[in-house]
Amino acid sequence: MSIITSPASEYFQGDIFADVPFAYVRSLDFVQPSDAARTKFTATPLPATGNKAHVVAPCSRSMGMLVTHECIIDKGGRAPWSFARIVRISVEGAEGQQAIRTGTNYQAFHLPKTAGILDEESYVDFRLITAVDPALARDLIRIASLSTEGRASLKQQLILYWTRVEPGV
Amino acid sequence: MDNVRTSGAGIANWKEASSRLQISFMPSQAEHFIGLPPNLISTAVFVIYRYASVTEASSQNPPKDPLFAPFVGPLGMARSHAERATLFNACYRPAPEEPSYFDVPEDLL
Repeated sequence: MSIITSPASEYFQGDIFADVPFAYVRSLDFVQPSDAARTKFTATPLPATGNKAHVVAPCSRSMGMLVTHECIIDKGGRAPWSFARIVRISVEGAEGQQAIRTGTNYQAFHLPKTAGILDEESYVDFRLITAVDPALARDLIRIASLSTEGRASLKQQLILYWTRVEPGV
Repeated sequence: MDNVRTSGAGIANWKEASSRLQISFMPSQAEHFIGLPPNLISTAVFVIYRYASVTEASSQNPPKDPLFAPFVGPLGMARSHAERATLFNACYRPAPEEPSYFDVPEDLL
């Protein structure tokens, strides 16, 4: 039985969303809103430490997994929701795919192909995490949740990825 | 699907595991614990059994005890989702609700 199920009635860590925006800061190109008719933004110098401006960054939209714990979401407020990008397993070679399936690739969490939800065998890449405003996140389309077993497996893999330790010995 | 928002499965499984260990170990070792309070005996037996099980195991020689088989092994050993979930539920307890929670200051966003 797949660890992927139809969406639960409430948000849970491990929920899968469509079209999550994944931004990546590659350069310090800052801009500011412009009043000009044809340009929405104009270049601006780097803001001073502690100050804000907009930065130009590549941003893709793709499937993502909610890694923020539901406890934070229940509390509401301004806390961003963090999403990890979901990637097709076919982007990896045979050796990499097997490591993802068995969990020996720490940064990955395997997602089996699941009829009606996930067309291709995939994985969550914990290295590709983006923070999204909660109001925007609530407007994203949630397409699946994890089973109880899947959520426990996810938590164990998150512990392994972030700390490089596991219980036992 | 279980929609309990904080799983108590970890505690239940751990209690069950320690209970099974005590039962399996006590008969042959009871003479070492005469005179000790029962709760201390339980703790001591469990610790000794667990130490023995872990000591027996090594990265090249996984333990024979099926109770520990999913738990002990080389760091990051290959596991199925079911085995990883078993490891998690047996070894971690849900943290209590935070006594206080602070929202993210708006000017940081």
